[in-house]
Order: sequence, then C-alpha cells, then structure tokens
Amino acid sequence: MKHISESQLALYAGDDLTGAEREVVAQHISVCGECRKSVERLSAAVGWMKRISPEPSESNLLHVQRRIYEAVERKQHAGKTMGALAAAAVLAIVAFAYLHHVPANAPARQQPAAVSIARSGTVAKQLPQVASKSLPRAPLVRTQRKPKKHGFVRPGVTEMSVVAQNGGPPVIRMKTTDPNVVILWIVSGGSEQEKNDGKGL
Amino acid sequence: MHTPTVLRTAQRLLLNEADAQDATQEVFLKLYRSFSKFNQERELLPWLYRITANVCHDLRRKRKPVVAMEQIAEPAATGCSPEEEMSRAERWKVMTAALAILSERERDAIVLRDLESLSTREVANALGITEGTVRSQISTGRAKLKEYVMRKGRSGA
Repeated sequence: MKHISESQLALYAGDDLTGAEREVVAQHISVCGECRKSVERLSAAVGWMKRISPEPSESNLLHVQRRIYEAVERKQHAGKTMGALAAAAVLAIVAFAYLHHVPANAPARQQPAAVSIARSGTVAKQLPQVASKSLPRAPLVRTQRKPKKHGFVRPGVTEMSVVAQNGGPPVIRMKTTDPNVVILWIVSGGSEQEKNDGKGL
Repeated sequence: MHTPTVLRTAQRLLLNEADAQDATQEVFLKLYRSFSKFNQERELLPWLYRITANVCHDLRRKRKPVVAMEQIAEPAATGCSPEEEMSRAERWKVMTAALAILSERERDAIVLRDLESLSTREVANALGITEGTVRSQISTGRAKLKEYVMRKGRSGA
C-alpha cells in the first residue's frame, strides 16, 4: 500500500487541506493504521503545544502597558505626529486591557475606563463595572487649534456633555470638528483614598 | 484589549520576554502613528499581527542569535507531568525549547496558525508570503514537533 506523505498528513492533522485532498487522506487512514497513527501523533503534538504555551504573565502585561503609555505620551508631547486624537485612541486600547488585568486585590485607580471613538453612530459595546463615580482629569483630546495649511487637520472638541446612565458610570460625550468622530469618555470610579490624593492615571 | 495578543505573539516568535516587550511597545507606537488609516475595528487585528511579525523579524535580525541556548532549559520530559500542574515558568521553558527546534520561518507559521489559530490566508497576509508557502512551513514544523514530542516523551519517561 502506498502511504500518504507526512507533509500531507501534517496538513490533514491541522485541517489545512482542501476538500478533495482531505477526502483522499481520510479514505486512506481509514484503512492504513500506520498513517492513522502518524496523524494522531501530529494532532497530539499540535494540541500539546497549544496547552503548554503560557499566556503572558500579569506582571509582564502591566509592565509593557505602562511602557506603552509612557512612550505614547512622550510622542504626544513631542507634537511631531498626527495628534492627540490618535494618541487617545491608542491609549484607550491599552487602557482597556490594563483595566481588565489589574489584580483583584490591588487598590482601584481613578482613571478613564475606556475611550471609544464612535464612527457613523457606532457605540462602544463593553462598559466596565465601577464602584463609585467621580469626574476624571482633563481628557486626552486637547482644545481646538488652528488647522495647519497642509496635511492632517487635527480634530478639536467642539462640545462636551455628560450623559447619565441608569446605575452605570457617567459618560462624557465630546463632539469634534469632524462630524464623523464622537468621543465617549466612560468615567470609572477609584478608591476613596486615591480620590482624596487626587491621583489619576 | 489587544495588548495581550501582541505581547503573547511576540513572546512566541522571539522566545525572549524582554525582546517581546520591546516589540510590543514598537507595535503600539506604529499603531499610534498609523491610527488614521483604520476605519473599522475588524481591520485592526490583522494589521497588528502583520506589524508584530515584521517588528519581531527586524528585532531578530538585529539581535542574532535569537535565543541564547542558556536561556532555554531543556524540559525533563514532555509527557511526565500534566501541563495543568506545571508553573508558568516551567511551561515557558518547555514551550521555548520546543519552538526553538523550528526554523524562524516555520516558527512564524506555526505560532500564527496553530497557537494563534489564524487561517492559512491570514497567516500568509501577516507574513507577506503565499498560502502555499505557509502550508509548506506548517507541515514541516508540525512534523518536527511530532518527532520532538515523541523523542522527549520516550527519553524522559
């Protein structure tokens, strides 16, 4: 009996064959114990790799998120890139993950829980739970500036309003000079101690 | 939201915690510079995988040899203790030792296809190669991993 090549068996084990190829291998291994055993070992090796590979440790994750914050803030202050709106969006992505990886026994921090850019009416789907309400520090998006003569025009905030939510955190809604961009700043609570200290992220 | 994904992928591609953190920071700085290009969230993740692969590739070129052998402690045996009972540090050592037997190209394809569960097309897009090349690399990589697991299972048991 002519056996199936190991490369084909390896692709079969990971479901990477097309329909016709998969059918040929399936028919063969139904009658060939040697090839069937090889497929089982290949599948087991892939499964073992998946199980053994660890997720990033919480400490590493927090450390790298803090590095990203600091690096983006340095760029933002340098004022050589596209502007505060992009920085706010990138920081929001990092902040979201950061908030969901703070250890359960760690003291809460007062910080913006998430900043979402809604385009064409799209609204952020996930709102984190908060214990108390407090107003955050000034938003990352700065006041309107004169547009440059060429290139990217920095969107500025034209209107801010607080949107009440039933039992949830207050949401600050900011309209910008770009009618397609609305910033929603969802305010999270912090520990009483940190509020008194005036600490924020 | 995407930071764990980028850091995890970088760790598996680079097999080095410190380099993976550098790569992750660089990826998000590139995102910061390019954010205006994205109109929808669904465009972001494939872009992040592609940039992560590129940044890791550049870091490997700058810092060869990629993995100093002393950084990888050989596992005693892959089959002698349940994975759930192993500490994260032990699992990290076992994973890096296994992935280190692959060539860089094979590792890129195996990490994205088998560990990150991207489709063959998505892996091809992320790595800038054809789907045929991805299939070739993952088949070779899986065969090597199979031999590795069998060898370690026999030698340590």
